[in-house]
This record gives sequence, C-alpha cells and structure tokens, in this order.
Amino acid sequence: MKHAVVVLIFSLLLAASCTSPEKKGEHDAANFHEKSTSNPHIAKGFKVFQNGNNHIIEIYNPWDTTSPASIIHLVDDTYKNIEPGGETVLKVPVKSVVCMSASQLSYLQAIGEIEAVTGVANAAYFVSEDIKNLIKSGKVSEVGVGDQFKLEEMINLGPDVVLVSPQKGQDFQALTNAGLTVIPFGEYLESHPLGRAEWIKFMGLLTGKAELANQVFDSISNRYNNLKKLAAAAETRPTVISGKQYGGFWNLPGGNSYEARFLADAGAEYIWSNDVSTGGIMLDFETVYDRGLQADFWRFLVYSADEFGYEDLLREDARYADFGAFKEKKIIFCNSMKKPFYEKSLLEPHVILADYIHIFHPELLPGHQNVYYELMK
Amino acid sequence: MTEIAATYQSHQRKYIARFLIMGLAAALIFIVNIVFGSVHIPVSDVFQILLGQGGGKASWEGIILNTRLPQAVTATLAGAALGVSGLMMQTLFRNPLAGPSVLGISSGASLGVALLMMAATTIPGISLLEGSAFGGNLSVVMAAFAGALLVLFIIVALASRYRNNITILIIGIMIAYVVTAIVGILQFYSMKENLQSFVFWGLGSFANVSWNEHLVFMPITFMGLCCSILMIKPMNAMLLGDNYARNLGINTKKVSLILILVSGFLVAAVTAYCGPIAFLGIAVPHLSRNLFRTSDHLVNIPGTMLSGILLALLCNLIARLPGFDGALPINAITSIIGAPVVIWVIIRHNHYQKM
Repeated sequence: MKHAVVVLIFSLLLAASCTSPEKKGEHDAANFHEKSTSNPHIAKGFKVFQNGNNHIIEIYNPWDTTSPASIIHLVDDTYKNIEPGGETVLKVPVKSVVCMSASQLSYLQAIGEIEAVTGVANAAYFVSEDIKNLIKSGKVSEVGVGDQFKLEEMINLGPDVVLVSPQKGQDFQALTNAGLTVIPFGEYLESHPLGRAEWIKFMGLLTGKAELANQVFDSISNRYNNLKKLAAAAETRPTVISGKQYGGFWNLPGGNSYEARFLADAGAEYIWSNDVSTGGIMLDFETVYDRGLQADFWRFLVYSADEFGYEDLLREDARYADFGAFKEKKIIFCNSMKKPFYEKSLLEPHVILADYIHIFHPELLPGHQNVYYELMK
Repeated sequence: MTEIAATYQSHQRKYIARFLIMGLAAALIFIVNIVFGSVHIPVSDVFQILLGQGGGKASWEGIILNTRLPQAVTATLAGAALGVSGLMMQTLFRNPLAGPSVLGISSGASLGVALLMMAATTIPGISLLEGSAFGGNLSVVMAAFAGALLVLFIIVALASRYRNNITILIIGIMIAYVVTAIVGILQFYSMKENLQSFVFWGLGSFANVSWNEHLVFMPITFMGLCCSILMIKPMNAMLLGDNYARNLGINTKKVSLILILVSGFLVAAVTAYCGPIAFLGIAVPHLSRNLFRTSDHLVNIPGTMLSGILLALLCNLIARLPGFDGALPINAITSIIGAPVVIWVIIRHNHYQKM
C-alpha cells in the first residue's frame, strides 16, 4: 500500500516535470520594433514586430488579451538556427498552406497566392465557383470534415503551415506533435469589419507579399471609410433588430459586435447598440418582441437550399408576423448557402456596407447592385 | 374491521384534501407564470389582456397570449405527461431508478433531430431535408417524433416476444447506448453551427409549442394521460409481482405492452416538442409517493400528474424570472431545482424505509 502511494506520487511528479509550460518571453527590444507597415491599426488579434527581414508575430485571442496565445517567428533564408525558446519558427515565404477555414482562401486569393493552397476542410460547403474549381482541379486535398482534421493525410501532405480557426478550449496539439507548424488565424474573432480584413497583412507576411497585402487592405479601408462618411450624412437613421428566435431564446449580436458596427456605419440604429458585448447576446423571446416590434428593419442570415421568403419565416414562428418589419416587408437577409458569405465577405466589408446603405438609404447609392444582403421579396 | 374502514376513510379524506391544495397551488403558479416574465407587465394589464380587453403596449398582448400562455400550457402538459410516464416505467420494471428515458425513446428522438440538423448538412448527398431543414420547428418535431417512435416500435416488437421485463429493460438501455453513439458520431463530424443548434435543442424548452402546434400536442398528451388513468388497477396488481398479478386475472404481458406504449408515446410527444427533459419523469413519481406515502396508483397517478405540473411550472417560472432575462435553459433548471426538491421530500417523509 505504502509502496503504491510512493510510486503513484513519483510518477505524477515525473509526468509533471515532463510537461514544461510553453515559454512566452519578451522579444529582443533592441532589435525588433513595432513600426512595421504590416502592424495592424484596427485588428486586435495580432501584433507585428520587425527586424529587417525577420518578423515576430504575437497572436492574441479575445478571451485572453493579457498574454499572446502564440508567438511566431517569421524568418528568411539567412536565418541561423538560434534557439527561440519554445516559440514557433517559420521560414517565409511559405510554399504550401493548409486552410482549415474557407475565408482564409479568399485572403490568399486576394494577394494572388491561391496556388499555395494544398489542403482545405469541408470542401462540400464551398459556394463560390472559383474555389469549387480549385478543388475539382485535384491539386487540393480535403484534410478535414467538421471540426475534425485527417491527421495522417495532413502529415502526408506536409504543408509548410496549417492555418486553423482558433476556438476557445480547442488545441491543435496533435498537429504540432506531428511536426506541423500550426498558426491560429483568428480573423473572424475581430469585432470590427476592417479588423477582420486587416488580417490580410499577416497573410502577406506569410507569403512574402506584404506590400501587396497592405495595398489591398488600404484600398478596402478607403472604400469602407468613404461609404461610412456617405451614410453618416443620411437624414434618417432607421431602427434595426437582428437574428431570430429558437427555443424561446433570441440570439442577437452584441452592441459592440461586428454586425452592430456594420449597422451603425451604414447609418442605422441597432436597437441593442447600448449593449457592451462584442460577441452575441441571448435574450428571452418576449424581451426582443417587446423592444423590436416597432423596428423599421430586421436582419438575419439563413442557410437554405430553396428560396427563403415570408411564408418560410411564418412557418418557423407565427409570431414573426406581428413585427413591423415583417408587415412593411423590410426584412434584410443573406442566404449563406447561395452566397459566399463565409468564404468572401470577411475580406469585402465595403461590399456588405454598401449593401446595407443601399437598403437603408437607397438615395445615397442608387447604382449599387446588392451582393450579400437583400430585401426579402 | 370497522376500525380499518374508518382509517381508510380518514386517509381518503386526507388524500382529497391534498389533491385540492395541490390543484389550487398549480392554478396559482400557472397564473404567476403568466404574470411574470423578463418584460415587466403590470398585473392589471395582464388580467385585462387575458379577459380579452387588451391593454397597455401593443406588444404586451402578443407576449401574454402568444408567448407566456402557450408556454405555461406546455409546461403543465409536459410535467404531467413526463411524471406519469416515469411512474409507469417504475411500476413496470419495479425499479425506482427507471424513468421515461430508460427505454431509449428520448434517445431515439435525439437521433431523429441529430440526423435532421447534422447529417442533412454533413453528408450533402443524402440531404433530403436540407435547406428547409431545421429552420422550421415543425420539421424538428417530426424528426424527433419519427426517431422516438422508431425506437418505441423496436421495443414493442421485442416486448411482445419476450415476457421478461428485465430483458426488455436491458434491451432498452442497450438501444439507448447504440443510438447515443450514432448521435456522437454525427456530432463528431458536424459543423459547429449545426452542432450548436443541436446542443441548444438538447437543453430543452417549453417555449417551442405555439398554439398551432398545441392543436397536436394537447390532444396527444391528453389522450396519453387518460389512458394512464385506465391503467390504475392493472398497475396496482403489477406492483405485487407477475405471479400475483396473473393470479388476480391480469394479463401481465398485455399490460406490460400497454404501459410501454402509453409511456413511450407520452415521452415521444414531450421530447419531440420540448427536447429531452426527461429528468422530471424520474423525479416526479418519487415526489408523489413521498407526499402521499402510498404506492397505490389510484392516488399516485393523479398525485404524479399534480406534482409534475407543479414542478414543471415552478421550473418554467424560475427560468424566466426578470433578473435572468430568460437566459436559463429549462433542462438545467429542472435538474438544479428538481433534484434538491426530491431529496428534501424523500428525507422529510422517508417513505422508502417503510417499504
């Protein structure tokens, strides 16, 4: 008995000593500076430190902003093997990339590096033709279904880097253990539309197209801000509610969220704009019913193989008919099964903003053809 | 002899008094369910709206008549149905741990919903239900019902072949494991959005049944509850054991089948419309047995219905109290509130020591 306890304690100590915590040290302040043109202004999820051709990227998750979730050294060919102390070292430009989320593909596409993609996940869901053709060409293999990845195929593929969508509580230890370089690419975690687009700068650094990436972002940012100025001049600010109910709960974007920012920038008044959260909020059906009944507009996403209309909405819940936006036929929606919302819209915030402005204030953008969002017919 | 008859009569009076008190309490908590919610509506306006005179803000009428009222009715019916269903299973298997989920029927419902929500989009080739999919609550109800009835059908087919109840119980538990494993595989390969809506369904809700759906839900549960009243006598005989029951002229195989069918149908209906909230079904019969200190089904069937209604309405009320903004799922509340209530009643009344 005594021996068993001693052995148990000993083996626990041994196990504890084997799993040394990842080291997250300060960078060599003298050599690395934050003045890189690739350092983001709006995105909060990554920081760039530059020293000549070498960069250190710190990646932060929104649920823990005190210390970086990962630190990645991007180095060129002249790099000599200096022990970086548990941090990831990646030789750039990378030649082959696995993208675990579809939107990463559009970032690569925008800087002309789509050819570098060798593996994707969930190919069955792709909507846009160019990406579907890429899969059909056979140069790209499917290395993941759902949130699961096919480890052996991934190892067989041996990409320079695997871009993953970070989620709270998820780690990619199995990939790292297999010797793969995993980078959490958290563009969708940004709560500002331009913040999401700004992740293209990181993609530029990875692929050696930093200049081009900065230009692409500046162009997006200029178009977005011009549209925002245009909308700010609108005489009216229609009120908007968002989302739908399920099981008595209504899932709404928080007042500081990505969606709420679009609505504000498009010259509309989101009814929960005073809320402070950057994620989603869950409210009781009656709370939303009480405050949202008189709203001018109502927006949501649907995922439907067929056309989605007012009858479909009523079939979901007859009480939707009481809403002013329903009666006045002012429902804004995007069918993400028909439109490449998840693939492309993250890098096209100016297009989404124009869609909204065209709907809220048609007189401001008379020539615009809506791409993602449309009024329900 | 007269003494026994006298004590019996005094017991009966006591039962009736308790039924009356519980009935009144249920009516009261039903009204409280209508009055309170995350939106504050003055009591006078609530009653004006209920009497059809309208009042206050435009949205209040919709909240009272189309949100709180159908939800309270759902909780009432679901509480009674799950309680009775659990009681039937506990009597049939003579096992206090049996409950409505023991035969895998609610797992069957989960499988139906999982197939609809996850497989439909995970395996594009077989996506008959895709698109129109889980947007509509009706398709969720149909899928859950189909899954539950499939399992029920298998159980009944086996039960009519094997007379031993323990065999049926074990088969039921095994089917539940298989079904749960399939659901697990579906979850493993599904997209996070679909997984999220499935997890959400699994939290249970009394809010899903609109008046239109009550046109189906009410008659089904009502019929099931009526059937349970017809089973009082044979259920009492079953308590004595198969041999005694047969000696009393009860066809035990037929009774077993009917109990499985009625109980299974009630669970199928409630799970289809409210999600898997089976905990009420295990807990409520204990509540009734301890409150009335008897195993007699003449008392326990109505007793279970009333305790089920009270507990379900209490949970529905707590989940929607103003401070919470309705952010508490019913399944969590039924267990968090229900379990201590049952423990308290059992400790307090200690019926089982006398059994």
